[in-house]
Amino acid sequence: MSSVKKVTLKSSDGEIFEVEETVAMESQTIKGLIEDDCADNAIPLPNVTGHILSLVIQYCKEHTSSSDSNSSKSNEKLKAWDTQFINVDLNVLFDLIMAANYLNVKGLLDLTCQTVADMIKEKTPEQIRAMFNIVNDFTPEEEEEVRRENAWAFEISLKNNNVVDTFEVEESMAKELQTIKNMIEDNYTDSVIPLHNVTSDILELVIEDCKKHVEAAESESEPSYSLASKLIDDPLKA
Amino acid sequence: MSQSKMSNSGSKWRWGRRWRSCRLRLSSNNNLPSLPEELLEEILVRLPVKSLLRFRCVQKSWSTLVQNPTFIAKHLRHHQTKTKNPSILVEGMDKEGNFKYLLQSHPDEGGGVRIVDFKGDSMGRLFTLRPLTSMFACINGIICFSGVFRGHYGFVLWNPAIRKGKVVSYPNPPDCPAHFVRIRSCHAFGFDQNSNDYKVVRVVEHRKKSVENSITRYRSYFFVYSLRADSWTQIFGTPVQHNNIKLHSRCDEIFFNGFHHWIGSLNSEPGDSYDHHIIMSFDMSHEVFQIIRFPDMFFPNKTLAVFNDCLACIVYGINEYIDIWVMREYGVEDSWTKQLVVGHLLGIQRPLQILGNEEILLVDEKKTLVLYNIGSQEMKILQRTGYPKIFMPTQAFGYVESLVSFTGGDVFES
Repeated sequence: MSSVKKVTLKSSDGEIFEVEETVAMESQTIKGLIEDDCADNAIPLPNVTGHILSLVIQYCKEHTSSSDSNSSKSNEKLKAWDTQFINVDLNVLFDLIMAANYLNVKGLLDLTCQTVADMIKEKTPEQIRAMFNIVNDFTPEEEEEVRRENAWAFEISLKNNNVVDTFEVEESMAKELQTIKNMIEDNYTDSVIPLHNVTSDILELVIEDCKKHVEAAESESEPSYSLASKLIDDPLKA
Repeated sequence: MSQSKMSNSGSKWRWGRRWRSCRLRLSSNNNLPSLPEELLEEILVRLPVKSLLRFRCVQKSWSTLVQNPTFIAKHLRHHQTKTKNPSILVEGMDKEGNFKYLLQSHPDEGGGVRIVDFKGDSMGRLFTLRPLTSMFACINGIICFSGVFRGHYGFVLWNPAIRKGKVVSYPNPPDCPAHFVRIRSCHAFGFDQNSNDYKVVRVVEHRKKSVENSITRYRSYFFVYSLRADSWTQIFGTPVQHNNIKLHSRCDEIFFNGFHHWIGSLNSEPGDSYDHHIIMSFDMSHEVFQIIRFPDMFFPNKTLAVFNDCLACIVYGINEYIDIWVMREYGVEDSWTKQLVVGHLLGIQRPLQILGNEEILLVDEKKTLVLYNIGSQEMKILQRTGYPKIFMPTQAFGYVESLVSFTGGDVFES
């Protein structure tokens, strides 16, 4: 029986993990410590909790065995495993990003950051601020200026039930639709708003009508929501 | 904020009635750990251009970051290396000789075609004429092409991803040398990685017929434009002056490794005919010209390309095979090696470009654009739905979005 060299890792909350050296070396940080002969006793990792560390070790195990010449793990299988693995709460995902950075596990950092990027790319700036605890330090005028410089990047997409047609409309027109207006003002939607009960030709008519109402409203004093909401009720019943 | 809180509590019943069939995503949270700045940057660098432009208004530091040249370079580098199936930018001609442009997503990503209509949008209105031999190039997500804009003959730098561009006029033509006649100009677009600057080279060629024998002499003037300096300078003392080189037309060019390369014909001895093909390279950083020779077996037709991170030459025209030669060590003429023979390809007229390291863009006999995968030996017809009816492809580039922006002078939005 060949003895496999193992290292001991200790998480911030005192959990002990015994890991094969080859697996632990997926972390460039740990690899450095081993090569510098600092790994005789348990390696303390004060920045990583036991729960997160166990996940990181899982990742390293899976990816070490895949680079083994005897392993038959194909790229697709590994990708499928990664997709399953990364399906965690946002809290855990953020912790994994920090752990992957601290432990210098390049593949895991790439996977976690890409996952968050894919998650946020369609979001609005307000949702981003909420997610990352960011305080808006623009004055309303400054923010308006920045928005205007790239106004086309803010267009909202409305999708019909079959995800066939996407319509990009300006936020002011989408607000004409009371229903969508509420969703927008409550910041409870992503940039793509699916409307399950409306087909694309009806949606086109509604948008056309809203456009007219917005133009009319800009020259009158009161917006005519009533006609718009009437139209909403009809197709929604369809 | 308080307004939305009110509607929140009052509308719960309404949501139950109306929203049941609509998809909702609640962004409650706020127990999320705070990510340090360099990790936030790791996430931002992976976002598409449109998202980053929208997120500029999240907070001031993000707006600054998106315009920071270091971040822009990092973002570009990431997307250039990670994009497995880049989009393809195609230039072609209709039957009247007008140029048409399209951006096509890679066949493995859907192959959807978007006509890039320069005439239709605000930039197109500036743009009135394009001579047949003018420049069209694409580097780092920036498209560069020359033409007549608002009455000025010059070129445009255009970044379609951020929908911004810049018009630059050519400098006034120099006086023609005695007994010479001006024939045409060549241009090249390139990137100087040492100073993170985009440059355009303009070569103005003159020709004179000698009386005693029928050797034609050429003389050229060289100008370089720097985007950073937003100005032109003239370059003197190039090998072209001394060696009487005639540059070939626009399709035999490539930008690689910080150098622009033209194929040209060299006649160094009186009495020689113009049969020796050479590569003339221009170092974008040091602004110097150099000559690189081909082995004699590169016959009859050549296209310059990039393959496996080396300067390559696609040699074709004898049979149904294509030879890909690589200059293993850049600048070392002895290091030309036949890397690959691709075939058996029937009905190919001309190779255009190598995409990544796996695929070749070609024009077939029917003047259709096709994509050939070297590994799988599969030929995919790109020129399908979405292309204009009569369209003869002349150039094609891989295209990846970038954030690179322009300042000063004639900047416009499209």
